[in-house]
Amino acid sequence: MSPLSSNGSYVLDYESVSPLGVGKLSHWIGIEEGQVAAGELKRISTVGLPVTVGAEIQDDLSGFLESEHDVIRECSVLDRKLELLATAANLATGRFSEFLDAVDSARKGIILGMGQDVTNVEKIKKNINRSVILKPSDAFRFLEELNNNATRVNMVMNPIDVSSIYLANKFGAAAFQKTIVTACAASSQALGYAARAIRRGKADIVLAGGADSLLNVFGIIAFTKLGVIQQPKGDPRWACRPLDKTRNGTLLGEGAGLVLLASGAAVEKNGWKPVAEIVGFGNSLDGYKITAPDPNGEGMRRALKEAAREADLQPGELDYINLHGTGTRANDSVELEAVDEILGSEESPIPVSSTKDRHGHLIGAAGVIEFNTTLGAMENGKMPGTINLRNPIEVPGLKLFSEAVCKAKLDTCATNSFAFGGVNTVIITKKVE
Amino acid sequence: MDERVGGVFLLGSSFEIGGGIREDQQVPGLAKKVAAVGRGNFRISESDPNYPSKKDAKVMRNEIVASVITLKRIVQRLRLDPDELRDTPLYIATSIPAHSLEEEIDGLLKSMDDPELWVDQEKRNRLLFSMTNPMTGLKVLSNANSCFASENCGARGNNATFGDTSNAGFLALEEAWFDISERRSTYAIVGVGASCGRASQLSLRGFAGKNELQTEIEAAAFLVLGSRDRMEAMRDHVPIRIKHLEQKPLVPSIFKQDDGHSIFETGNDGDAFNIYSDPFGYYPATGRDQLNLSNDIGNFGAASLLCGIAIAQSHLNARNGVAAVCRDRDVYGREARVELEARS
Repeated sequence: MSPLSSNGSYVLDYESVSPLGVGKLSHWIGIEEGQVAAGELKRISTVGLPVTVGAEIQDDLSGFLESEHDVIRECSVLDRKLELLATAANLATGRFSEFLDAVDSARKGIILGMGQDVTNVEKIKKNINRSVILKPSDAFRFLEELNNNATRVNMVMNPIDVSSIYLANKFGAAAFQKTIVTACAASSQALGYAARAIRRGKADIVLAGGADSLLNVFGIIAFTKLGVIQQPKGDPRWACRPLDKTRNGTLLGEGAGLVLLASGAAVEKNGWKPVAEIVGFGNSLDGYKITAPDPNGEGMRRALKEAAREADLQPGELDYINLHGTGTRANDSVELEAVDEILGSEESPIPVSSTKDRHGHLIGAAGVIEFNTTLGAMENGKMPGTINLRNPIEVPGLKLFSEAVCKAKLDTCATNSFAFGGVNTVIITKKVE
Repeated sequence: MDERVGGVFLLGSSFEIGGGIREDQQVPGLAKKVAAVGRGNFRISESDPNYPSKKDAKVMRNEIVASVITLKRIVQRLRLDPDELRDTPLYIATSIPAHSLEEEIDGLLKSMDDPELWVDQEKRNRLLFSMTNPMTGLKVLSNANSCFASENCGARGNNATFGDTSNAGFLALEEAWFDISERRSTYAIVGVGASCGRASQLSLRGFAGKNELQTEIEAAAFLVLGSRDRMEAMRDHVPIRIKHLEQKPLVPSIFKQDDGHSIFETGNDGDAFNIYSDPFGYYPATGRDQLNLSNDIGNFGAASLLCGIAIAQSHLNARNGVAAVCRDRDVYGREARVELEARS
């Protein structure tokens, strides 16, 4: 192993819960085998809605929570994000604890990127006697009663940061518990700020990641009305076609991901073997409009430049980029142009892809799941393609491909996340041999 | 936290508190003023010169409107040039978008009025779809404050939106402090917009236990931080150094109510003006040199610490004060402390 930077941020381990698989191995197998999780939604009733497809985790997750506190299990029934995050945490507890137990509580931190809370009306409904018509005041009291379990976890309307407090309790992390709520860039920012916290000496080890699910009636209605998702004509597997000239919308998904980062000093002291190092973090705002990304991609360019500067990279030096690539008209061509200008190379085009056509757009959890996909690619020496790509947008300095995976030696890779409201985040990762 | 060479300065601040209280109110009379006008929601007039355009206002929650107005006031007062702020970091603390969630509850309640809708799923979904405003998805966007703040002041650099207790204010301030002390930037903007209502009441239900939470009050605040060079260039302002900021390490319990009573080293601050914020009222009552935001005005939620700092700056400027200490305890019991030092 090459010498480590004492305040560098090293990935020790990671966990993924995605529509392609519950567990990082299952997720990676889904990627390698070219699975597409798009399909008719089954957990919620979409009858009467114009869009009925999404990328859903169909596994029963209750088995992963058997060892959890009763309150967490009960509340997970109504709070999907907590359920997804607790599943990821429980899957990884054994592995993560090996590292986390070696560090003092005051030197352990938590940073999550989380999605907006959405009350699960469908499931609450099941708790209400349908034959009784409640007055509004009675209904509010009913919801209050539903929450009154004498703990800080609610059945309905948890504070957004309850998941980071949950992880802090589970792993004894006292240094800080941060919750970032920057929509589609939230968990990427969590990774970036986790790396900064380590570099600044605020913690020796940080558990970063995020969880989100917009697969509920409200999410589907809101995204349909914004023109971001469309009902596919025919086979749902083609619902999302990132980087393709025929793209017309994204695919809503759900999931959770966690990444355990440690300082170089902690890695050396404990003799740990890291997977990779976060070497670049670029972060910017469009300051354009809430309704659309800057069509010139100026904010994206600044984030890409900053990440490349921090990683000390020149154009053409990246081995692979996992793009944000939502499959929407507004994002993909602007992103490709920006990436091409800052990081592309006509002499040796950089392989790029979006994997959202397979696992969907996980919104707040998109960044961490795509970061974990990139880590899987680096570990396995196989980069994932944009599987639904048939009519690629042409960019001279980038190489678009549609294979499930292509063999490649991947030493330095990037992950892009660009959010509603014009937040642009780029993470550059280097493999540790 | 050790101070780096150069220092980090609070160049200016502004705030808007429910009931119509702004930074130009004298701090000693603040509690009385709030009591007189009543606690609770923002009182913002559409005739305010900084009121957003009708188009923007359509997709803004109340606390975002208040935040934009508050931000514009400080940007104008400090005569900041948006072009110069282009790479400036912008860190935001936010409460949960309570109003949007309340609307959802209202939808639920309306649905309850017609039992048939509970049975006929298709009818209910169609009705919900037709009733939903096309802009709802943007109106509930958790990082909307950052988007509009960036658009209105020009800051487009490093950024994050932290949620959703007053601890988020400390995290936002800390990132900005680091950006300046590490010389990534010479300016940084930190802001907060916090709403309140039935949704936050529901959300906080599990925290109260035997304790009574203080009455919630809406608040927005923006702070402009700068390097020593920036401070020295602003000759008509009283320079205030952010001398120290610190968060006490804690694993907050998720299962038990907060029964702790730490007051994070009170009583050793010499001549400093002390501001406390604590939703459970553990901190001392207001005295000659101290203001207890939560007891005297209300629970500012995510805005407690940053609003407290803005109020402290107003006080130091008005009274030629020498120092202020802002202490905050959030609903999980996490405590933060920020020391300000006025320099003549």
